[in-house]
Amino acid sequence: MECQNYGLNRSIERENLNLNPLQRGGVLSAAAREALYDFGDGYSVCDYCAGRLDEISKPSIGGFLEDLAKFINVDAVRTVHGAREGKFAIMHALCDNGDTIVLDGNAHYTSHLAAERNHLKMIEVPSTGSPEFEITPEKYQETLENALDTHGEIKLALLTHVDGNYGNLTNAKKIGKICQDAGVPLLLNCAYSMGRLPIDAKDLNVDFVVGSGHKSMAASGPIGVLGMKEEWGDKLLQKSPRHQKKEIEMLGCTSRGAPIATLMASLPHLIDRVSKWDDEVDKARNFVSQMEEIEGVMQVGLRPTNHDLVRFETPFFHEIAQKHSRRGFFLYEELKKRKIVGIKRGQTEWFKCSAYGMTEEQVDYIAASFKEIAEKSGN
Amino acid sequence: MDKNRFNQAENLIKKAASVENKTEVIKEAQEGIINVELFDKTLKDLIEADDFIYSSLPFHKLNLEESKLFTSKILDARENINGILSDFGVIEKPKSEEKISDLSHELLIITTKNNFKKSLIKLGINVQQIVVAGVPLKAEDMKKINPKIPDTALNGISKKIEHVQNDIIRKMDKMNLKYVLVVAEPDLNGNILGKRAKENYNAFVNLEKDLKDIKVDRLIELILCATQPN
Ligand SMILES: Cc1ncc(COP(=O)(O)O)c(C=O)c1O
Repeated sequence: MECQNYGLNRSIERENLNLNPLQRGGVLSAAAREALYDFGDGYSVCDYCAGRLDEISKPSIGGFLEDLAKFINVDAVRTVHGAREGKFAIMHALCDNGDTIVLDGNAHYTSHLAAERNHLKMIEVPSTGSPEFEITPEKYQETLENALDTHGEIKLALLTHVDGNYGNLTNAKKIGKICQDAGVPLLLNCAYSMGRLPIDAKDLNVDFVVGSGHKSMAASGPIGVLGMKEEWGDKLLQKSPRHQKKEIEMLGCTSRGAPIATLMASLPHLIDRVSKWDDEVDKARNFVSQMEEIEGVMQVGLRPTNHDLVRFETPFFHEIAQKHSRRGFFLYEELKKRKIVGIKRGQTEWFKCSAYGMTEEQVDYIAASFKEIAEKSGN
Repeated sequence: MDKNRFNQAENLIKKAASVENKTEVIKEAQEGIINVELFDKTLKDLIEADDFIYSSLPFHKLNLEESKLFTSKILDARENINGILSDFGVIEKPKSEEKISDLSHELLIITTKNNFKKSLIKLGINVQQIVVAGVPLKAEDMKKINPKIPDTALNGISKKIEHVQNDIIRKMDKMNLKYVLVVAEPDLNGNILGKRAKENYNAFVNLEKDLKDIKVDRLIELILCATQPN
């Protein structure tokens, strides 16, 4: 059999400034690239395994998990295949078929699917709507209390720490306290925060955190992080009666090979970069203010932004698209000419973007390019 | 990147610039053995250089400092590639390597760490002429390093010591080596090893810091001291 040409090459990230928020936090550190070379083969981390992935000593996965637990301040941590698998495992361990959970109105689709796959019903905490789309602690409390009144018991609440649409950073600490007081365990979805900004699960009053290695932790996918308070270990890390070393919710072994090796290699880099998070926020705010110099471009979501992912409404570019010979493609094409990618082709009404990890000069270059395109195409 | 790496980069570039610029003759490959360590190192040097591709987006223009660091990585890679090619006779061995291998042909080097061994091999010492002694050369010396060492642990270490001693004797016999050079760091382990090697093999002992970055000229000097006593 002859295989098709799969076009398996990718230079986009090495030739362009990529504004796609999905891609920014997963760019590998140099150490991770080296680890990828060493650990690319199948079960590469399993040479010295005695039956428990999390206890392998060469490479020291056990040591890495201890460090990772400290990094996010949880009692126990496991790697999983992604934030979604972490959410699924928690729901699966805590809830029963037909139970109801509470989650925020900005929750990621994978939170919905994890709940659906577990046959759970969902009650949503509405956001404040346009233009800020904020999830307020007050609304969270009101919704949770109503849910408790109606259903008697809520086995799990979920909060999206930073959502993927507006980059809104929620007040997890306050909402954590609300859930704690109500006796409902809280799962904080840190897919867009863990590895970008400091996470202290205990300080935030949360029972569980999940993170995404490929989204925000400079690791090759698929890999996620699942951290928990000690008291949940019995449920979540319960061992199989038949295969006594294996944890059931982890299906025995989770991430192995290149994903975990790259995450391990990137941890020192992550420790360093989360300490510089304030600079990233300053950079994002500076980017927003430069972009808003273009009339008809405004940032939506909380202002000033507290995250690198920012969403703009861009009626200005949309209007141009109506008359432009390349229609909606003009913006993408003009940016591409300037070696800037990551805004979807044909999208001019709004877009979200991130300059996470870029230098100030790169951010200035991007903003100047947008302005130049606005000037050129607006006339 | 720290200052140390920067200086290292600068030195490398100077070194490279001082190498005479003759036209290279590429010969047909002969049978040979891939030096996997060098090969891996080459790729890793290139991966480190690769980081600059990201940081210099989108036009990949580097300032002076970045250029020095970037090219130093490429030079490291080139040096390794040359080593691999010369192992297959495709290019000639670098002059300094030939000289070191020539001067050291009757010499056994005892060192304490694997990364020193790597540096020595890279500079042209034959891998067969190096012994890495992670332990002292006599069991009683272990007590000087760790007076509280339990007897059970000492037994295990004695076996290793015996192995190192046998290794030294076997190599000296087999390759007809006449001289011994100890290169180690100036710490307790290094001192104890040095003393014992002097006593047992009349070794020339050199203890100095940052051995893994040892330069060609310094190594030649040490080889001469060890192989031309008086
Ligand atoms: C808020 C949020 N949660 C979860 C995910 C999914 O993460 P993973 O791919 O690790 O399951 C995403 C991905 O876009 C996200 O934005």
